[in-house]
Amino acid sequence: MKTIEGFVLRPLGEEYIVIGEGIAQVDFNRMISMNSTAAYLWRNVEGKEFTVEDLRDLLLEEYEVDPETAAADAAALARKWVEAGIVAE
Amino acid sequence: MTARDAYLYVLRSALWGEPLSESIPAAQLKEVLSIAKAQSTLPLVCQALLLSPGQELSDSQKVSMQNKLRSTVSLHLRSNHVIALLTASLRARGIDPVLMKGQGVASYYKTPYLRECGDIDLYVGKARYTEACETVAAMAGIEDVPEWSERKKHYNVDVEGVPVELHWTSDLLPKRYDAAYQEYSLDGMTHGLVQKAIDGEVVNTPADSFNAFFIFNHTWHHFVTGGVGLRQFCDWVMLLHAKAGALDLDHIKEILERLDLMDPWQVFGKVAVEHLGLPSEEMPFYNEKSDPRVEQVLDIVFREGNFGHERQELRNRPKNFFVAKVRSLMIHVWRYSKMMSMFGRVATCQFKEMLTGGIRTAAEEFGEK
Repeated sequence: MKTIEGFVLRPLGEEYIVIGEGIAQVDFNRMISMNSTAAYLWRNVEGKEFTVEDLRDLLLEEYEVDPETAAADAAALARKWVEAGIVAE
Repeated sequence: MTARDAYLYVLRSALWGEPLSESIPAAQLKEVLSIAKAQSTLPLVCQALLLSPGQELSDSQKVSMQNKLRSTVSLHLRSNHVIALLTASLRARGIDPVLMKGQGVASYYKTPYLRECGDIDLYVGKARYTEACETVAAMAGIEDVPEWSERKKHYNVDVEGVPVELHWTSDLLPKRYDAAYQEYSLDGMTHGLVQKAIDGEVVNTPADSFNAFFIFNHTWHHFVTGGVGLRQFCDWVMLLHAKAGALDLDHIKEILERLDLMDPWQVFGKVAVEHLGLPSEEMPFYNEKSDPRVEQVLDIVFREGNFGHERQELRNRPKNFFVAKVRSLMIHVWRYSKMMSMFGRVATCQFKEMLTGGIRTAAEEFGEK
């Protein structure tokens, strides 16, 4: 999967949002809120091809979490991003 | 540091994306936020405070600020959606609109979605103005469109809850200057347009050099006629910064000199440089000499708030028609006398325009009674 071009991560006070900016192909009038963990993952995969396993590995590198929980969280987040229309499968 | 200084410090931090190195005292915070609200810059100030470590913010203040940020982003998205809809609908009728101010200028901010949203101003020109109004009115479910009048520069309508102003001209200046202004406006609104992508649609914005003048003139116009907030100054600062080195300064100079606006431009320029942090080399025609009017302008801006909404003297309007009109006239005369003492002829022209316009409006209103 890959993040869709035109969606950028921006700080919003103590949170982060992903918002469509700057290219005409993006027709999007919602914001996707992200906590600092999701924002960390987005920053690391933005503009690149990635898999659920890549997200899991990034979680394991940064946080003290067991592999099963990291895999489940990564899969759930990837699903959420696809459903929100900011990542293409 | 006064609350006003603290506010300007936080605002500069937001404009230039530099975290605050000093903490704003908790006792001053409420006033800083109140000033930010009056100046239509609250989202920018909330963002700067929340992003800077070491600020003395209570939990409830943090929640309230975070909510303000979220609601501002939502308004931007809704506004952008309506701009795209309007542009597509007008283009389908062969009318190519130009987005003025607002979301177009927001794109020059470091955080575009945190500029406080206003209405949508679309320029469509004179030739097909009525058709454009009918198109937009239909989108709002309105059947009757008022007849075109040269005295009224825009048609107001709400589309999906967003206020829209459809303009046949970018502005109307006092008679003495208007013919010259209309030449520059027509050129800046039809040639060298700058395109922005907004919610899936390519949207026109004015030519850069005309826009630099236009945003200044909009600020000046509101300042001299009734009150303006620092948001308008911020718009100008962000545009000048984004377009530094790319503006046709000879063209801007010609407009300013022909319209007698070089003096107010230079005074506002000092507000931009000395108080909002624009590098002086990015301020065209910057005058380094000190000028007491800079602080006077800022005092007025702080006292009156955006579009004069904080003007105490305008509250408690008398119910009697004639008493209200006389009182309103006296308030205007008092205010314009100050403007004329600061800016001379160009403010005097605005005063004459206000007088003739005011008398005409009062006569029309009286006739309707």
